[in-house]
Amino acid sequence: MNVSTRTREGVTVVDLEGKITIGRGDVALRDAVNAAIDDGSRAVVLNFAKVKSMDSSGMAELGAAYRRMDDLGGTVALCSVPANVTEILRMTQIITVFDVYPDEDEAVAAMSSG
Amino acid sequence: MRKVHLSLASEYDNIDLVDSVTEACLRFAGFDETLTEHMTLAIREAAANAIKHGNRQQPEKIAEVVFEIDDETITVHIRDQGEGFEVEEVPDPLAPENILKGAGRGIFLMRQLMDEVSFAFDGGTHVTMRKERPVAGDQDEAGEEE
Repeated sequence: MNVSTRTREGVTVVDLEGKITIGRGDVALRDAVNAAIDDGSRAVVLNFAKVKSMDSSGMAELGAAYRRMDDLGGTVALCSVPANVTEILRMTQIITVFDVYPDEDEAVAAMSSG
Repeated sequence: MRKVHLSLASEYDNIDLVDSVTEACLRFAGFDETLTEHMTLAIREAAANAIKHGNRQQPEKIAEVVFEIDDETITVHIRDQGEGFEVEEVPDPLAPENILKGAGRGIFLMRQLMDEVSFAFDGGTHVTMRKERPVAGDQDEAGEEE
């Protein structure tokens, strides 16, 4: 799992690539969101375009990221989620708590104007 | 019956090995890409539970994954050397208060993605998961519909 972070219009974009799974991917997701929070970001978009799969540990970190940011009055949103990952996120219903955008441009536009 | 037996040290890195063997077994058994992805996740969840919760990542403790493929079904056994748990006490991950929490989601996925899932406790946890093999014609027809 590779993670990189950049900023667009005041929104932190976290590019995720590979498997968000137990042991590495889930930790990488946690570290990326924590680093964004520590840097003062309160608007984070997780770009799933290159995510291949996700397991329950990855979903647990997704939920934890939402809770941490929500406690600080911030927002974590998702964009470009592949169909196979969307299916699993819907099955477990965790996707229902997130704003989900079809692509990064829409996510950044919505979050930077909010 | 074909049988594949994995005996793993309880380290997270070995879960990817389980994925690889699972995908090979499922391809052999004739499952399509979508079913293979679903079942690989279900089996991964059971293996991860065995290593994390059962054996508590103690490498000297063994997690076993056994695939049995007969003409009609694939059966997967996952065993650990842990203390076991009460299945009935696992939280419902779909309850509103649990949606953002982690507990129970792995077992939920196993039950959603396999035909049968059962738990037994005999010197560790023994998870048995079963799925009917596809009939070749069914998959061809499904492919044509797409």
